[in-house]
Amino acid sequence: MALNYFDPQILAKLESLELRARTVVEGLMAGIHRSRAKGFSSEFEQHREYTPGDDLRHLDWKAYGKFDRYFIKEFQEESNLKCYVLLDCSASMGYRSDGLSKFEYGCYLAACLSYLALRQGDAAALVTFGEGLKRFIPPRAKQGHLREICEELEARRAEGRTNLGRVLQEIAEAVRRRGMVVVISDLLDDRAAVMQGLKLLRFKGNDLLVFPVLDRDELELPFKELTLFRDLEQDVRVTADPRVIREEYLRALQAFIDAYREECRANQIDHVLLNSATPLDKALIQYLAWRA
Amino acid sequence: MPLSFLQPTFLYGLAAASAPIIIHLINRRRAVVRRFPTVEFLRLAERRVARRHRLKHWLLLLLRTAAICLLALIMARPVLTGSGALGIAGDPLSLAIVLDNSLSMGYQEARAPRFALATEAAARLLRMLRPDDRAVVIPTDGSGPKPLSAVTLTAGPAQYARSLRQAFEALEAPAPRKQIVLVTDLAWGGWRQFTLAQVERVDPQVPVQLIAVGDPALRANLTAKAVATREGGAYKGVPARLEVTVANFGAAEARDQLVQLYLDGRKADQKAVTVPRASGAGMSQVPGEATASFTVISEQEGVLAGEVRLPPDPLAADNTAYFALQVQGTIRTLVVDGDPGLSLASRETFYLAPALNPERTDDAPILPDVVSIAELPARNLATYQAIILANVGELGGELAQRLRSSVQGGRGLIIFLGDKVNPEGYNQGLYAGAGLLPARLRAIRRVAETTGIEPPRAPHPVLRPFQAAGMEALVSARFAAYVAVEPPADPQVRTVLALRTGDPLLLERRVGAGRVWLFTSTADRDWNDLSIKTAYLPLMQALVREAANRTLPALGATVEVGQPLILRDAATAAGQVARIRTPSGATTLLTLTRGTAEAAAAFTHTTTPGLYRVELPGQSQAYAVNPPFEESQVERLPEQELKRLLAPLPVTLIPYRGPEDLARLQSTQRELWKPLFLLLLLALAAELAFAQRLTK
Repeated sequence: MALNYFDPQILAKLESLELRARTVVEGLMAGIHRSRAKGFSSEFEQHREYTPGDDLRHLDWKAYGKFDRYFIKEFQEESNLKCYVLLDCSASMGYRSDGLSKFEYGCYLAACLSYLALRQGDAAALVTFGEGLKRFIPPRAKQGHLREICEELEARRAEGRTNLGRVLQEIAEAVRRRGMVVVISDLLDDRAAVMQGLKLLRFKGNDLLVFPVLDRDELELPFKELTLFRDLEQDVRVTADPRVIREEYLRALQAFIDAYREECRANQIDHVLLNSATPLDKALIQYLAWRA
Repeated sequence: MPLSFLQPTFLYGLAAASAPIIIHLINRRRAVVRRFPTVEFLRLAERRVARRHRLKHWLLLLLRTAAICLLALIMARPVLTGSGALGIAGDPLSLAIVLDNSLSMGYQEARAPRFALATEAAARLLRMLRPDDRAVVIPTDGSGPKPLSAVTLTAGPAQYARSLRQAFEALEAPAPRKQIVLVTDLAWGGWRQFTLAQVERVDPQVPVQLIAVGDPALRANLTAKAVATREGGAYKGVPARLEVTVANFGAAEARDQLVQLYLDGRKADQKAVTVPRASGAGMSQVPGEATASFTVISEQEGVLAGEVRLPPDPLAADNTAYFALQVQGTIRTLVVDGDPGLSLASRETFYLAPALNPERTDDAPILPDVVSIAELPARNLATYQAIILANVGELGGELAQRLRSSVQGGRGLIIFLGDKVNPEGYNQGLYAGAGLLPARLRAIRRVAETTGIEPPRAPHPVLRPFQAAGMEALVSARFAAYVAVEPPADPQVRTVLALRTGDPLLLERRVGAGRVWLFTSTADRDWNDLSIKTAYLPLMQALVREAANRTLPALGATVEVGQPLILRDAATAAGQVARIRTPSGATTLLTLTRGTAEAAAAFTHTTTPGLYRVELPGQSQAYAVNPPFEESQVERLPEQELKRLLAPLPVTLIPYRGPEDLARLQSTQRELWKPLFLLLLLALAAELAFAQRLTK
């Protein structure tokens, strides 16, 4: 049985984040048709041998005359899109029920998205943040840029508080050209401030894709014993029987998610809720569909 | 309603009720600590459901605690002592047990006599008491509080009023709770004369419980109601007819019941009677009655101890009736005829002698010895109990003194006047000289149109034969002549009969130990026609008997058990000691005390049915003490009637017949484990439902 490389659990077995990203994206791209946007570039990059299915328009007839073999000319594709991936690195992202934490899942997603963007010739940028900006890796379209992004992701840990609203505002000020902004966060912050930041980015002509990442425990609250819950970021404690409050908790959580979703929809912001246990391809397909 | 526990040790199990609370607290302390991102939502949810959930949680805790409490309570076997019960629970109790030991309690029930059942119930009550309670046992014979073991069945009546008064007196001391329990068969007889006013000391706050022993169904009970004689007295050798009345309190006719007569312990005769059933019920019940007649001849003077025995029935104590047959000797009467006449019919005693001995036999109660005045001096007056002078002309001074000493010795003298009598001579010889005549004679008074006897106003033993009937015959006699007398100077002289003219006809005077009667007319038909009237014979016999002090009735006095024997004698007998011998053979000495007109004494220990013999100097008497007739009505008093009699006392009736009711007596403390068990099941079911809902 073939391995499902979109499964975060399997991806976690791969050592290099970059390798993981490549594995996911290549696997994904092999299963779908090539984008019309690919190969539209004037800057020659290299030759490669023809394989059935290649576009015959890119056959190098001169090389055929010289070597009696079919070669395909490959060009460095030009990009007019900058993709900013914003990854929440607060302590709440560090929660894990089993398998990957939300942060790890976010890292995979960020790496995959960056690789996907780079592979399509877009410029990829990475922003890690917590209460404020932790690091801003500017957008570049070179393939080697992925390594820098992956190194940052591998070096980063989930810690501290979140202030997503302020971060979004800072990014909005920093982004001078319209681009694509992908927010990977659990969005456990002041919703009004977050939406204000998102709206500001949107106002500046950016396309926004929000990936709220939640753990299965957060989505289901499966605990059965009396529990003293301590917040990961603030000094808040609640002692409760999860069985008793589950229904009310899920209702409150769903209201929270729905409120984000509705506001995003109203502002033409894509909102895709992700469970940290779900395969990454869902997010990537969403990205590609949105990108197309 | 006081609550108590049969197994109080299990109440320690109530401590286990704290277990759910402890477990709850331990669980709270053992809460798992978990760092979690969405605590804000948890807090929000917790706020919303906390109050509702906490309420459910505490309810669940309450249900669990209640379940454990109920389990402990069930095992401790709680009992409730309520209004239908004896109420021996709660505060310390002062209890007065009035135990019926009257005759009817001897009724034999299927299992045991009623008294045994009552004693059993009383003992059970005493065993139910706690150390702080106090109790007193009061029998209904009126003897006052005594230990239960000292209370015995009596043959007397139930003195409910007296014993209830003693019970209220016993409960006068302050106590948190007071109660009177009357253990009785509730036989009608004892309640017939009862009124609550007789109790005198009634505390309406003290509840009265009645434990009714015995089967309320009416069953046969025969009793010898009365023994009576037709004639006035019984005499030696003279047949006496006894009539025994048998009463039936049962609802069925008693056929061919053998009535046996015993005299001095020997069976004398027996008769079979059929006694009809009783009619009516309760207070208006009338027993069926039948009479058995016996003829008794005694050859000896004195008292014959008689018994009438009925066939055995459930109440044996009223099957025997006692009587004292007092047989008197014949009365030798010296009759002095002062006008023998020329013919038999003209004799002064022609009517008198046959009136005293109508059958002219030697075994008659009165044996007249008719003599002439000439024969009198030769007679020994001491051999006669009575002497009659009938129209005797002259009496010598010596003869008058002999008569006087004879009368003073206790004999009776009856003087009839007539044309032979010289009033002046009588006044000198018998009035002024011997002091025998009740009044001074004046002269013969002849009445032209005749006169009659004034109906007597005051009773007198001589007139006793005419109490029921015959008085008309007496007063119908016509008198043409009589001797008028002066008003008696002696205040002790009594006019027994008077004529319509206002003059005395019969005067009585006490002289020493004897008495003198003066009849102011003749004994024959010369001056009146009394001798041909039907009243003549009983009057003459009564006079002789009275004169001879042979006036005892055939049957000695009869009293019921518990009633006093009143001994009476002449005032001169004061200070004399009476010796009383009871049926058991015990002897009691009693001194007669002087009253207004007589000496008397009361013997109150008539506790045993039978014959009580009383010896006084010069005389012997016998009294029969019999079971109270009312006690033979063993039918139970209805509850409504009982409550009416005891109103306004709060009364509760508890039927008690035997072991099954003994258990019921105990279960008056109603066990509560059944409803508690039901509650436990409900609590567990509710706990299950709540627990599932909370842990869903």
